[in-house]
Amino acid sequence: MRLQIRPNTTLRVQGTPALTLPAPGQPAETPDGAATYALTTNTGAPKEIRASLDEALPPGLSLEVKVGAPESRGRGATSDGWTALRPSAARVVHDIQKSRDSGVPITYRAVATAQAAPEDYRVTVTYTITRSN
Amino acid sequence: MPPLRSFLGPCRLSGVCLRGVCLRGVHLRAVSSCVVVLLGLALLAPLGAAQAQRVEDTHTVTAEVAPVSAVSVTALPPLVTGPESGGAVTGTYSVVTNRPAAQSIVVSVEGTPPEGVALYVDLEPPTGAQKAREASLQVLTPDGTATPRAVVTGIGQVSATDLTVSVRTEVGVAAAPGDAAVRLSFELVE
Repeated sequence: MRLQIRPNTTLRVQGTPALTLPAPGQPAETPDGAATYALTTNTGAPKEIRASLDEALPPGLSLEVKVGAPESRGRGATSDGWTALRPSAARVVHDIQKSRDSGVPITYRAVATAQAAPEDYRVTVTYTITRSN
Repeated sequence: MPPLRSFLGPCRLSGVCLRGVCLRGVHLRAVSSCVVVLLGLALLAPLGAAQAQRVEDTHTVTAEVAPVSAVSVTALPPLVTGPESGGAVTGTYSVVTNRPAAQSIVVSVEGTPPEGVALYVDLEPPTGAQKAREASLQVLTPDGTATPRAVVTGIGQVSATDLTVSVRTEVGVAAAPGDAAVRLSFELVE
């Protein structure tokens, strides 16, 4: 019998993160468990997760994310801590090797200045796992 | 059936049918092998592409920015004055609003004011806004008539602190000696 184990990597984000900004200059953070992700990868090459926005944020609004590090074999994955979200991809976790983990926390933090008009904003954050350069 | 020559290029790549080009049967078998190999390559190609592909998923984050409009004035120091002398005090105020529509700060006298006292108010406008008039505006006349006044206009989305507020009084002989309190209201309106 011949057995072929294919390389596979899956990344799934979960939750409906929502923030309410009470006043200009006062940051708000998503509660624990509001957003998580699951990761499965059987390739040993070091990988990283990057996050980007589908479009620029409106004036006066800034959004940051802190993505927890998954359990990972090897030297262990590391979170990059609070990272500003922009249309250009920013690294949020690095040094991911073989891993199978779920419920890894994703926390969002936003702050608005008076320049951000009072309304509901919806932004799409894309998470990409790629091989580290 | 296309001529064998048309299959020679791809077949050479697979190394399957470099021979047997004379007999029709061999020719067909060779062509079949070529198709199988090419099909196999075609199936493997996406697998290789998938391995190189980036894996991604998306989150939709909602952020609700609450409407905020507020004016806050520090307590003004007491003013000691008398007939014919008048006097003025200054303090500071802050204003914050994220409403896009232009707003004004309206100052008014609340309650029953003391008789014989006139009050004038002047506010330093935040960035982008203007004073309604260069001179201070009268909000109370000696006969006790209180008139709300838009002292600063054209206030856009702003957050400003430590702006100067000045209150000037004119006291006539009708004003009774003693302590008197005047309650001033500062309101941000569209």
